[in-house]
Amino acid sequence: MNKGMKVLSGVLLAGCMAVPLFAAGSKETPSATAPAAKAEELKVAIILPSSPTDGGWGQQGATGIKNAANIYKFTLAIVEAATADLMKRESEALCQEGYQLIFGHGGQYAAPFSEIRDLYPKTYFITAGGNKTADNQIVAEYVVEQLSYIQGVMAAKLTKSQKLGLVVGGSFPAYTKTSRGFTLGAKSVNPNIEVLFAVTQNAADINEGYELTLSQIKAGADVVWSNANRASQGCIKAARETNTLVFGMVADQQKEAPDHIIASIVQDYDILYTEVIKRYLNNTLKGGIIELGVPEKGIVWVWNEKVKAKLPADVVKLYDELQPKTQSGEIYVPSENEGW
Amino acid sequence: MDILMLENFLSASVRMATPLLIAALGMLVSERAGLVNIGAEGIMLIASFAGYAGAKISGSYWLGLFWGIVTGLIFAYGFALATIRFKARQIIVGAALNIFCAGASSFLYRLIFYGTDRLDKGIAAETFPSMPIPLLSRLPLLGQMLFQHNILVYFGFVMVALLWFTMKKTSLGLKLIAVGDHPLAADSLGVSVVLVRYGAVLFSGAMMGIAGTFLSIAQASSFGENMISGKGFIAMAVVILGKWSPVGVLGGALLFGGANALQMLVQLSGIAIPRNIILMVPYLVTVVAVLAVSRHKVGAPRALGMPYEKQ
Repeated sequence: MNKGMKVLSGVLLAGCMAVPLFAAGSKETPSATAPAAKAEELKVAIILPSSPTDGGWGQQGATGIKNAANIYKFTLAIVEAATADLMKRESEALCQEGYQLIFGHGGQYAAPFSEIRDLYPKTYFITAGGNKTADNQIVAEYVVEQLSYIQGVMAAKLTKSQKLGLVVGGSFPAYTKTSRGFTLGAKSVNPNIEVLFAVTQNAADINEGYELTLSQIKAGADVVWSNANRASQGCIKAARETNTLVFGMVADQQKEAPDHIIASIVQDYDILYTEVIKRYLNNTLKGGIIELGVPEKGIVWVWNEKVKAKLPADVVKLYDELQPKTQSGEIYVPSENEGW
Repeated sequence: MDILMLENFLSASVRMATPLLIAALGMLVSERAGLVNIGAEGIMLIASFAGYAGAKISGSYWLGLFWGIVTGLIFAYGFALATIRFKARQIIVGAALNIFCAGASSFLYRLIFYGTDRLDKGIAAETFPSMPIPLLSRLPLLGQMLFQHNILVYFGFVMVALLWFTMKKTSLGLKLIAVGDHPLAADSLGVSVVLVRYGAVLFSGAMMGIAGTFLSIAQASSFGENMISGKGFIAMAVVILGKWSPVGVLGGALLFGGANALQMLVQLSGIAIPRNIILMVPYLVTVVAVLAVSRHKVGAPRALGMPYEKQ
């Protein structure tokens, strides 16, 4: 490279590095976060573990908080941070920028938030799932496990091989509360039913989801289920290729396998997040656990009508039969913070 | 372990080895010519996106494969230009490629698909169908392991044989090895070092494109941001493990694919081992294998990583 090119490269590099310095230098960093009296003054941030356009968990969170922002017209920041160090760093940066509510879209944010919450007592840290609460740290969750219990009962009624395949995206309660619910439901029908259970190394690895579910199917599972974020796309593909019945989670996934998805549990995070923001603005938001479910329409059972038409009638009626019982506690399905 | 479980394990090993094999064969050729491209992860990622986008929009997995290869070629050309023409540090250019391709693929995915009607009928794109080889696919154990896959898996195995033959038996192979070992000597004998290196890098780009497209179209039928998940780097380790030979690379890829399939098998068997340890298995196997190989003469091309200045 000649001297001229070297000089030009150096100038360009210096320019690129200077731009964020100027941008950073122009922000004020308040030492304490003042509570917002009005919605328009409110600054809300959400930290996602995956892309806001991933067609799964990340997108659920992004869509939910954006809908809440459309209602209340607050300032919104959407940030991605998938590792613990990034979660902590990003949430601290948001606190210093004056955000009053910081949502972590997933139970994995509970621990990083708990490490900084005492430094920012006027900021509320809300995690979608998780096991840590404080005056300014809240767990907001859907009792999805109650519906995945029903999926398990249905699966046990439908299986001919008495083998079911389950894949989750992580081995922590936010994921495993649903597989536990599913397994309890299946074993309530047949205590000896074999549940092939696997955890992905990486919930964003679609290929891993595909291989895990395919292995389960080849091992004899004839009904499969997954709650594995992006990896669930691979799980559904394996089911589609092998003509295996499958349940959907988080979003309505019947488009991915119109002949094989039985029903999906759709989680509508704008209802959950809007509820939290409403409580903040009403001054009724307190530390602890907020649980919402079917009555609040935050989680919805969505049948795939094409497959439903082919199911036995006694299987189809199970939803209407069991949902009120799981909700009332007549059938006890442990929630994320119970029974571990 | 019963026969069915063993067949599934072997078949999964081959499927999981295939993207590593194809990418590693490409890197093998590039490294034999003296160029180490750590940007394989990024090139595979952007090619996987291009392949998915091509297949999803056109409805044809062949067009998806075409775009995946073209994308691999384009970015490989960029690497070649920077490192051969401008003699930039190969490691730096490769690292820059990884960062750029990660951002570009995510940005383009959101631009082309997010908020549009292109995903209204679902995220899944057309996928390569399984092509069982008549008669051979019915062999016990080997049938499912080797002869019940899609065309890209067969392509990987054919390329092992083709590259072995080329490198051992043809003048092109001799030139490739000479350029990577003694570029000055090769140049003095009339071999165009620059041309061979460009050709090697472009070949590796095409192979990385195929590997990335395999992941998005043949396996996942969809695209996920950062979906390569380190397979580009593992393919680099496979090249070292295979001592820069096509057959060795095949062995390395199968070893890693097998380790990955093994962790799935252990999970399914319900053996009481903590899952976090099970999930470490493929990576431990790779590290141990690479260390074991490194104790002996590794056989790396002598001019690997060094830019060539024509005297």
